Amino acid sequence: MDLNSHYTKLLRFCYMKTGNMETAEDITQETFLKFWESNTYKDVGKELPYLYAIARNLCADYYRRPHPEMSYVPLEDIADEEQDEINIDSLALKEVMKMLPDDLKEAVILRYANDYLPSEIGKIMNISRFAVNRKLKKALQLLKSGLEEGGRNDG
Amino acid sequence: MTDKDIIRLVKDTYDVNPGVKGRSFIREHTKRKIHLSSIIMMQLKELNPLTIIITICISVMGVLLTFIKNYSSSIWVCSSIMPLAALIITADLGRSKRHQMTELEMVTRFSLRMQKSVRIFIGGMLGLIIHALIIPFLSIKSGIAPCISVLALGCPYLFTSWGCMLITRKYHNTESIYGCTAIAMSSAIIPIMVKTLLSQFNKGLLATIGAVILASLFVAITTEIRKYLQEDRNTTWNLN
Repeated sequence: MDLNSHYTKLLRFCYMKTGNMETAEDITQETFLKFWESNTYKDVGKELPYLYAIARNLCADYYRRPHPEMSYVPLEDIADEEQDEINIDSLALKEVMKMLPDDLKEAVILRYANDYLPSEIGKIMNISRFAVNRKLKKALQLLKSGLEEGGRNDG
Repeated sequence: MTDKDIIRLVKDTYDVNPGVKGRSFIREHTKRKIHLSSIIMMQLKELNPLTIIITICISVMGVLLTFIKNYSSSIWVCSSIMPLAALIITADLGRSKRHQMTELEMVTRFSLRMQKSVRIFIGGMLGLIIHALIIPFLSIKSGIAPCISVLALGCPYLFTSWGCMLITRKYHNTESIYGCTAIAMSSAIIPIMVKTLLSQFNKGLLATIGAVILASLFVAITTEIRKYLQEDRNTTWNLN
């Protein structure tokens, strides 16, 4: 397993789920540590679905936990956030993405940000590649209408 | 806005890369890949130089013996010196066990199983080189059939290797080398006994018995290598 490439892809997935770079980084690292420590993984060749299942569960746990105080945010992340603010389109996309169902969001990130093939996404999400293609098509339609609606409201 | 624009926007928005913490995590957990040949070279460097020197000496001695004209016993002398080669090689393979350094070897970059496998491979190759050097000369110079040479040289060599590996596996102390020496000396006597028996028994029958013994020794040594490799599977750290 190429750690560098999988780490970056999993980081994007967690960033999409949490919306916070620092939290995404923590969850990504925790995912890998759990994956390596796990004694339950037996199905050789299904590392990717197992890895993403751990990440998905950890992200869900993150939302279940109360977050009373603000956490420390490194300067570079603040810089990232400022850069995001400048990019209106990215902000708009993030807002529209928030409104999409979880499975559509996952399909979009895995396909367009992580460049996985529909067959690989199917394995990760435990659905057929035809279902993946249907979800991607639906997600693109929703994103398009959401962004256009946002644009009209701003205008 | 087209689908292509949306896809590009998704790519740009979520094109995040690991931060300082992430990069150090990757660096810390990335295993450096190493080629098998590099491990063999590393283990070769760890081999006792005396093992190499004695192996070369035995090979040269065996080859020189075949040059002695009208000397029919050269095969039996070669056969008698083979256990010494086996003793030297197996003693070097099992040195970590004898000196109780197994735990220390467990913390190195490679698994103990990998190190042992590589050492056995090196030992096997050394044995093969000796045989490959002596057998053709015995065939050319002394006119002995290669299959007979294989039996005469292979049996004592494999018997000593098997015995030494068994003793090293059973007794984890420096004294085990005495047991190995005893086995090597016993194996060295066998060719002399066979030479005596040769005049009394049918040569064909003795060759068949020799072939059966050689095959049995192959099975025995394969089993012993498997046990030797599996032995430290459950070795745990002594934290007391």
